[in-house]
Amino acid sequence: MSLAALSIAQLRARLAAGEVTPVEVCDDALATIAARDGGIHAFLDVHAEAARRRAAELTKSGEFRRLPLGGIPVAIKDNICIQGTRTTCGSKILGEYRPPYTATVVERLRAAGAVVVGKTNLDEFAMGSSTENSAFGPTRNPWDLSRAPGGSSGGSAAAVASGMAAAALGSDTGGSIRQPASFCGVLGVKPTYGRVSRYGLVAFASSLDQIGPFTRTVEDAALVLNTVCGKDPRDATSANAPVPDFTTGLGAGLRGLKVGVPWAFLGADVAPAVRAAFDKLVDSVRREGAVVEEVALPHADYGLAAYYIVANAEASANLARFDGVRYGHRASEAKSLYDMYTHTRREGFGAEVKRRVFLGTYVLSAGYYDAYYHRALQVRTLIIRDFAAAFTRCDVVMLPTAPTPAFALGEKTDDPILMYLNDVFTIPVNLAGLPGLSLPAATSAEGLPIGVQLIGRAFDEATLLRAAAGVERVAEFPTGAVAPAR
Amino acid sequence: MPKLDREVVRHLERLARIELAADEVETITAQLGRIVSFVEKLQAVDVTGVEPTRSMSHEPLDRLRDDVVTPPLDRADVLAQAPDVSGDFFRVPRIIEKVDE
Repeated sequence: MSLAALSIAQLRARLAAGEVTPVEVCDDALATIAARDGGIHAFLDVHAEAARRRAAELTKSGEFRRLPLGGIPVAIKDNICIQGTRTTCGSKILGEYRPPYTATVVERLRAAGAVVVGKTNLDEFAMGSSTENSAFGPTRNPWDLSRAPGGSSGGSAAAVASGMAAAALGSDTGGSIRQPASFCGVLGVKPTYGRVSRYGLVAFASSLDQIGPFTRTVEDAALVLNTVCGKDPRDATSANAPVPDFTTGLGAGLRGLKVGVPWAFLGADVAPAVRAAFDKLVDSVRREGAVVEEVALPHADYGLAAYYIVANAEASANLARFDGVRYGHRASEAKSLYDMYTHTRREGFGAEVKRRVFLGTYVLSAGYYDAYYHRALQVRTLIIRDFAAAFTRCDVVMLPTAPTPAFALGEKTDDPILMYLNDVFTIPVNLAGLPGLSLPAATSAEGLPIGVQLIGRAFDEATLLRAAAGVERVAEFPTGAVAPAR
Repeated sequence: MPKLDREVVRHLERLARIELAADEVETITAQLGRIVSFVEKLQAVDVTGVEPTRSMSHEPLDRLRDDVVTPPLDRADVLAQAPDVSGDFFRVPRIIEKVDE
């Protein structure tokens, strides 16, 4: 069996026993990338030389033995900066941008001994649900190469699903970690707002963005979260909350756990295969001794509409920095500063980014601000209250991650609203700032993974992960499975 | 709500500093119209007396860090990313038009 199929926990055991070295693990990951990424296109850049150098250092010094992620190959979404290497955000406007600094999450992973193998593909500026909005071409779903991996962190999800990395980082503004995790059959965690430093993450919507891990098991997700969570003086929104060891108590099981299911929110738009998998899992969870209760999220239905106002208003402000002055692409022929701005941004941004910046500009413009933006922020308050009420009655909320399994490439690219509906179950979690995760629940008749979403109380990732570990044991999907090469 | 038409989109082009190509204007006008009708469903929510949520941060954002000097970004690294520089400055096209007497 290739090392690529092993979880972080399994790799750690082999590394600790001296059965393999970080160099061997790194070479295996790079060989897997060479063999498989031609068909998948999860990576925009492979950092082979830097990875080999780091793995050799770790092997020589032996320090990987005492580091929590010593010698573990990880991939990084290409909206997270690594000094001196290309960061594209999947956009032409960043050109050959090489950031002069490194994101805190990458520094933390490196300090924990992880070996960064490369940067992964994404929808341009993380705007999308299929990774088809990348200026560098789409990523394909490792379980079925004719389908999308989800998005926007589709490259990270596909890299982990195909064994090209043991873990990856993504970012989640409205579901961009959880939905691709569901489509690719891997674990994807969006931590509580403020849990993980965003220093070095290229901002999309600052009140919603959060960095989190992709792994193939719950235990592995806990290991990565142990490393990346915590206060960072360079991100004023990062929280001072204590970070427990998330790996403790993962064997606690489901007995006595209160699981809330908002049945009324599930609605008619859920694909039959997803609904069947969800209902079956609810039964399994109940059989394991969890108490399943109905909860109400009466305003969750408005989440998608509120999100497209709030997120795009923030995006229109955040993306104002791409002006052709300090970095990235600049239109060459412009005679005036104004023309330089407008031509640079026309040439540099793709269609979805333009749509969203225009929408954000519209809802913030004079005359529309109160009707749209202010009202959306009020609806956000109501969604926060819905969750607060639900969590007086349960420990975790359970929902499907996405209404469908992976769809075909090109299937939804002509209809922005159809694409947005992918995120109907994940968006309320970002609006409320809560932690949520997707874990593989089942496999559809066509062999596609189907995820289930668990949502927890703010800063209670520990309970969320314990519940997830319990669900993982009863889920039909084979724990830790790597998509077979095809 | 006034209709989201080409004239509004022309205004947004100026506000957003994005000049659309001719063929993009029609598409984006139609798509924005549909997205705006979609978000109109928020008008049905009773928000009377509900405070808007403006910040998600759990941290007090008015607390300043200690007043100590920390290393800034390397100037040469930063300038190396710019499309056009002159010495230690970013260079941009002419801002002030020449006035003919």
